[in-house]
Amino acid sequence: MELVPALARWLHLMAGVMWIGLLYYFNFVQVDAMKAATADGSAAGISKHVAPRALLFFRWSALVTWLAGAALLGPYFKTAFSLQPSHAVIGIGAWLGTIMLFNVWVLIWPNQRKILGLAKATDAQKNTARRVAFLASRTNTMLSIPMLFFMAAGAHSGVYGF
Amino acid sequence: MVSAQYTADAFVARRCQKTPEENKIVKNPLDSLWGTIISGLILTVVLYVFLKNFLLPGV
Repeated sequence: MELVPALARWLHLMAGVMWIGLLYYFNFVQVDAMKAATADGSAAGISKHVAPRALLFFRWSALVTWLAGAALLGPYFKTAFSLQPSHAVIGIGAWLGTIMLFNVWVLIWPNQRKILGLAKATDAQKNTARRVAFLASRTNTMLSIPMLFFMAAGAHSGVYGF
Repeated sequence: MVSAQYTADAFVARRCQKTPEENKIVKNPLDSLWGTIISGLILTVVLYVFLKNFLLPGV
């Protein structure tokens, strides 16, 4: 067994499942649940106890996924990100994952801090933050579809006709 | 000095602002789950065609 690639792949998959799982939880469950909870006055339970914990694991699993993926690429990191033919398939997946990581740390998390009251913000700033965080989260959900396709295709290129 | 975070926030905030007319006419597919999923599937096809024709021609 090649220890580093084997551990990196394992870690990449575990952290990736947590990251994308929580992303889908936010988009497929929490957004609509918050609307219903706001309507019956029970939204505080989600925003105070659920969302901060989910965001903690969400943002750090995103970083771990990316770092493990970079370790997995190893000497082919540059080849993949420059989309050279030998690693173009995984390279597209890697670029999509990188854009998603950027969205998590630069757009979603800072704006969620304002929404959840962890950072100072006026009501107008909170409203803008809600829209920005929502669209960044939805963008990541959209990008996850081709990202997972190219990640799978990179590891099983024959099945996908590459 | 303007931080990168501030610049990114300001950029996105500007991009998210719509005129009242745009709000009436243009619908963002990302506002609905199905729109998001369909957009992701279309993007997958676009990237697949790009990959096959421009990055891996002849493969």
